[in-house]
Amino acid sequence: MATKSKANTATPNTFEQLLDYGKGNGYKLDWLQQRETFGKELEIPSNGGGLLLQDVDSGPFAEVPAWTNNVTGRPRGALTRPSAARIGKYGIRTKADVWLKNGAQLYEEAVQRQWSSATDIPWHELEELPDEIEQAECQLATFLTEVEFVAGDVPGRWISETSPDYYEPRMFLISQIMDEARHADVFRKRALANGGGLLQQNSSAALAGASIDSARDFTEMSARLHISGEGLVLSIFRMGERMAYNNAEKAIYRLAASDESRHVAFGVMHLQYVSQTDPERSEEIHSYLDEIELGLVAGTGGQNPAVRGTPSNAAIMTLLGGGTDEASLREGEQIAGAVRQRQVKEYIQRIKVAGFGDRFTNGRAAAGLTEYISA
Amino acid sequence: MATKTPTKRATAKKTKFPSVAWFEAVAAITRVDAQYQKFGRLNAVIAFKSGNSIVQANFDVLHIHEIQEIEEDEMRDCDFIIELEPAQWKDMLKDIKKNGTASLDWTLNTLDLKYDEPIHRNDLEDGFKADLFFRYLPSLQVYFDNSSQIDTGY
Repeated sequence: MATKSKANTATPNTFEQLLDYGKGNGYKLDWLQQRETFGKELEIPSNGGGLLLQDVDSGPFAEVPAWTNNVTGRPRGALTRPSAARIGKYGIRTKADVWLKNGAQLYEEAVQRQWSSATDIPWHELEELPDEIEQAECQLATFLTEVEFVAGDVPGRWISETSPDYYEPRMFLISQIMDEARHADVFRKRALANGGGLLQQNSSAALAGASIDSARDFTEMSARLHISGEGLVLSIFRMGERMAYNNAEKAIYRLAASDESRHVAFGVMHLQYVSQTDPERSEEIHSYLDEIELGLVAGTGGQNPAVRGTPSNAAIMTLLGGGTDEASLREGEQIAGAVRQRQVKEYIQRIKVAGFGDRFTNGRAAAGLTEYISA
Repeated sequence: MATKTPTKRATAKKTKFPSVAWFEAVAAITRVDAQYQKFGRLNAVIAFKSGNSIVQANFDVLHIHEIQEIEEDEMRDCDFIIELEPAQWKDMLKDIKKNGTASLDWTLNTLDLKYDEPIHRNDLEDGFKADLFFRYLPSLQVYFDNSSQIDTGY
């Protein structure tokens, strides 16, 4: 960071003298250049939140191009080096394809709200549970470990596709991968820490993952992953907190839900940016939402935690109802159904905020959602 | 034999819930709470509604300030609202007082799922702002858990 004192000692005069000295003594100093911001003192916020990216980015460093030809890995705002190799085959070189208005804030929040599965979970409060409950915990933890593996894999592909001129969403995605790694690790630990183990792989998670990973476009991927997929997982985490049998499980699900809602926020804000700046894509986005809602209604990709027939949903109902007898499972199913209703309502609210809410009034939204809208 | 003296609990002044003083008292404890600080920055103006009483607080980075009573129509300016019936608030706070932290059935998230309607909402149906409830839940739970350190009157 340039400071006042540096500014005082590096006046244009001495700078010129330095260049002359270099040239006169055989040094190649053409790289030594003063930027517009040199000597400008930065105000450090005193609100306890530290120095944020949005605080330091100013002038040429804050200018985000609508389109970029930066394929050399040059940091945004840095001066071009003509001999730089074209190291990046960035597919995303258009701002509207990846941007959101608060990407830096979400990234900073992600960094500050990191937690450790090793030390922030009161593992010592895990206690012996009835066999069917422990098995259900392990089945759900197996499912979530698998889901989080997919959720970490998918954004990874798009990071390397994004030009450094759009570094904010890029860095948020990197933080998301850290979050997903922690989730995969904490659910693996839960499956193994209480005398249980990883149980059956869940085919629906793989289906959903394949569907997200086959997205042809970043916005399509984000709608599928952040809004639909992460929205579902957020609902499961919230249920997990509710059906926790001890404070360790409470902490796991509460902290993971906090991360997950940040990922959902990224998706909502990106979709909102697209709707506001690129209205020509409206019909295309609606077609992605058509597909997402088909899955949301059918639940074939695991999007419906209340549907029967998957090991993870059976585990959820067992945990919510408190056992595997018929009455308990029925009670669990009822609670899961109520949460499912919340899940869909929240999806609808997010799509409205993103600017595509007209589909819920013009008859375009999946018919199966109607009952939730009116409920 | 030592004379029996009144316990601190018997003489301690109770802070009425809901009131600005109550939210200020809990905020003062929470601002210096290591767990709260560890959970990181927040950015949300939240209204807490109990019956006809509404208190607003600005959770700004790690500060909690601008705690004040507001009117019903001012809730639309808040990022989200947490509303419980007075008896529900009382039961939740009594559980926290008894256990030091909310027990399994009395956490904010569990209450949000337990009742027919969620306890949180945005009055303009802004889903992004309503979602801040989920994003900051660990911090808000620490905030309410800290109420165990004061004597609450109702």
